[in-house]
Amino acid sequence: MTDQPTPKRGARKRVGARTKRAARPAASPIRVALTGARTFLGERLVQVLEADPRVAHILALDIAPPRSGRGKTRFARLDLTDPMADERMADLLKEDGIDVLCHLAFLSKPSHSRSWAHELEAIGSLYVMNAAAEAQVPKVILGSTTMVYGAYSTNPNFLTEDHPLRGNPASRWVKDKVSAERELMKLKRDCPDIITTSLRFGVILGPTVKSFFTRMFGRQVVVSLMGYDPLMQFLHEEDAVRALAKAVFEDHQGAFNIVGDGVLYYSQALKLGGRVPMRMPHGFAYPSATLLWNLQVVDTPGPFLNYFRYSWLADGKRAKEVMGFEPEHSSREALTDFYASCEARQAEANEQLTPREVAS
Amino acid sequence: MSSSPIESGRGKSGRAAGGDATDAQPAPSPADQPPPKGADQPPPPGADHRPGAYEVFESETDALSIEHLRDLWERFASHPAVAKALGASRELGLEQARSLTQRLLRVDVDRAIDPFGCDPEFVDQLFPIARWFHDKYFRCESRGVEHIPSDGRVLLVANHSGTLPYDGAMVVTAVKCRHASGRLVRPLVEDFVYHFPYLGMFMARVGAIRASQENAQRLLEADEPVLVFPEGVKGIGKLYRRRYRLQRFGRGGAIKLAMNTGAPIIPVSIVGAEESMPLISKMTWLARPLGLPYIPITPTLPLLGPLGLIPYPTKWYVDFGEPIDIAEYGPDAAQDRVLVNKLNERIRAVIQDMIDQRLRERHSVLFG
Repeated sequence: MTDQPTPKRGARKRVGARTKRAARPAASPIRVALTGARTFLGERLVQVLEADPRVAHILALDIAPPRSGRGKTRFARLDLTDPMADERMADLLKEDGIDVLCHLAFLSKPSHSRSWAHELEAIGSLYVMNAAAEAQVPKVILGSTTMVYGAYSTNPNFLTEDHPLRGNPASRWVKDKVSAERELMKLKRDCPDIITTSLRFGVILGPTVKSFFTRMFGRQVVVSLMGYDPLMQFLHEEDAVRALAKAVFEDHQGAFNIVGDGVLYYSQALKLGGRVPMRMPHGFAYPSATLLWNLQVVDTPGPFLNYFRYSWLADGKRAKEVMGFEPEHSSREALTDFYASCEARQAEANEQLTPREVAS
Repeated sequence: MSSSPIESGRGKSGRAAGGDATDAQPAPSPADQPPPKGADQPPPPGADHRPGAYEVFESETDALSIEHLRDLWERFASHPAVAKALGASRELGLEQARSLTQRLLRVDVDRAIDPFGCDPEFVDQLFPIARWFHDKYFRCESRGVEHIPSDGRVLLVANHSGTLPYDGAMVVTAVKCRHASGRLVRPLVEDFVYHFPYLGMFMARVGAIRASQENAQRLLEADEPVLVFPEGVKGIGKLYRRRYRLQRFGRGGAIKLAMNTGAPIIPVSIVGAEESMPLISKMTWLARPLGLPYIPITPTLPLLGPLGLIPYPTKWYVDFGEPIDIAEYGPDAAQDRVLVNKLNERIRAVIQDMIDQRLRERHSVLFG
C-alpha cells in the first residue's frame, strides 16, 4: 500500500511540535492509530472516530483496510507476525505524530494454528509495545478481555483489576492475551510517562459482533457441564465501543473491567435464547473436546471448558467510578439483543432458502 | 426420499421407526398416528407385512396375547383401591421427583438472582423443608435472636460441628423464622463445594458464598448478614470424642472482616449438632481423588448408604450472644496481628462459654 502524501506533511509538523509539548492541550484534535483495524472493535472504533470532530487523523493498521474508513483514515498494511513489524510500526507512528495507540489486533476465537496465533497475539503485542516505546506515543490502549483472570473455583465472586492474571495455562488463546497484558505492564514500567490503559472486556454480544462466544450462543445445541452452572455477565457491543472511545478521548491510567450490569446463570442464558444444553459429565467433556479440537471438528479446546464450569465475573466498579463509564445495556439486554438478531438472521436465511427448496 | 434434503430425510426415517413401534398395538388404525407432516408421505417400508406378522403372533399365543394382558391389567387397575394406590404413587412417583429436581436445579429465565447467584424463589421453595427440620426434627431452641439487628451489616460467628453442614442450614432457618425481620443469612462455605458437581450449584442458589475475604467483605458492604464458621473443616470434621471443644479459629479472618467493615460480631453457639452425626472416623485416601476434604464414617453413614446422610433427631440449641463491637478499633487495627489474634481468642472463649452453659443445662441429648 502506498502512503498518501497529504497526511505525511501534516505529520511532520506535528512530530516537531510534540517534542516540546509536555501535556497535550485538551482542545486540539487528536491523532489516533489502531492495530487490528479490521477486527470488530477496530472497525467500530474507526467509525466512531471518523464521525467525531475531536479526531484529526486515524492511522489504521492491519493486513486489510477497514471497511468503515473514510476521509480521516490512512491505512497502512502491517503484519504483526513479521519480525520487522516493530520498526515499521514505529516509523509509521512517528510519521503520523500519533497521540493515542489502540492495540486491538487479537483473535476473537481460538485458532488451530497455535504458533501463528502466538506470534500474532503475544509477540505481536511485544512489537506493538516496542513501537510505542520507540515512537514515545503518549497513550496506549489495550483491548483485553476478562478471560485473562481465568475461570477457577477459587475465584472471588467478582474479580477486581488487582486480581492476579491467572489465565488458563492450558489454553493458548487465553495465555497469549495474558502475555499481551504483561507486555503492556512492561511498557509502563520502562516508560512511566506513557499512559497505559487496559480495557478488559467481558463477553461481548450484540447484533453485529462475531466471536467465539457469538458462534457458541448462536447454535441451537450448546455444551453444558453436568452439575456446574457458572454465573455469567455479558457486555453489549455498543457499550464496548463506547468504553473504547471514552478511553481514547480521556486519560485513564491502569486496567478497567468493562462489563455489563447484572449476572445470569449459564443455564438461564441458554434458556433465554431457547438453546438446548447438551449436558455431559466434565470427566468426559474435557478429553473429548480436546480430541475433537485436535481433529478440528469442534471450535472449543478442552481446557477452555473451564469458562463454562466456574464463574469468572469481573467487577465493573472501577470503570464506573474512575472512568465514569456506565454500561447502557445490562447483561440480560445484551443477550436478548443478540438472540433477537440471531432469530432475524435465521428468518432471513429461511426466506432465501424456501423458494429453492420448493422448486426442488 | 432420495430427492429430499438430508435433514428431512433423517426426520422421515425417524418417524417411520416410531410408526413401527406404535403399530405393534393390536388395533393399527391410521388415525392413531400422530405425525402431522407424515400424512402426505408414503407408508414406511415395513408397513406392508406388519399386519400379517401380527396375525400370526395372535393366533399362536392365545392365552397370553398382549390384548389379553392389557385386559387383565385394565380390570385390575379399575378396582377402586388399586386406582387410589396408583394415583397416590403417581403423585409421589418418578414424574413428580423429576419435575421437582428440574424445578429446583434449573433457574427460570425470568427469575432475578442476586449478584452472588442467590435465588430467593428457590430459597422460598426449600424453606418449608428446612423449617420442618428446625421445628419438628431438631426442635431447635434459640436464645438471643433479638441481638441481631433488623438491618445493616452483621457478622455471625458460629462453632462448626456435625460432620455435614446441617448446622449452617439451621442457623439460617432460625434467623429467618425466629427473627422479626426474617433476614436471609448468607453462610460462607468451603472451597471444595465449588469443585464438586451439583453441590456448588445448590449452595449458590440457596445464598451460600465461597469463603474468601473478598466475597465476605463485599457482602458485608452490601449490608447483608453473613455467617462464618472460623473453625472450617477442622471444626466440622472433628471426631466425636473431641465434641464441643472449639478448634483454632482460622487466622483471624472474621476479626479482620469486622474491623474493615465495621460490622458487629454476634457469637453463635450450636449445641446438639455434634450428636446428630457422631463422626467415628474419617477416610481421607478416598476423599482426595474426589476433591472432598474427608469421607465421614458415622454409625450409619457408609452402612446404610444414602440413608446414613440423615442426621439423628437430637435436640438442638442455637444461641445468639451479645453483639461484640470491634469497630472501635478501626480499620487500621486489622494490620495489628497480635490484636487480631487476641480478639479472635476472645470470640472463641465467648462461644466456648455459651456452649458450656448450654451443655450444663442439658439433661438429655435427644430430649433436652
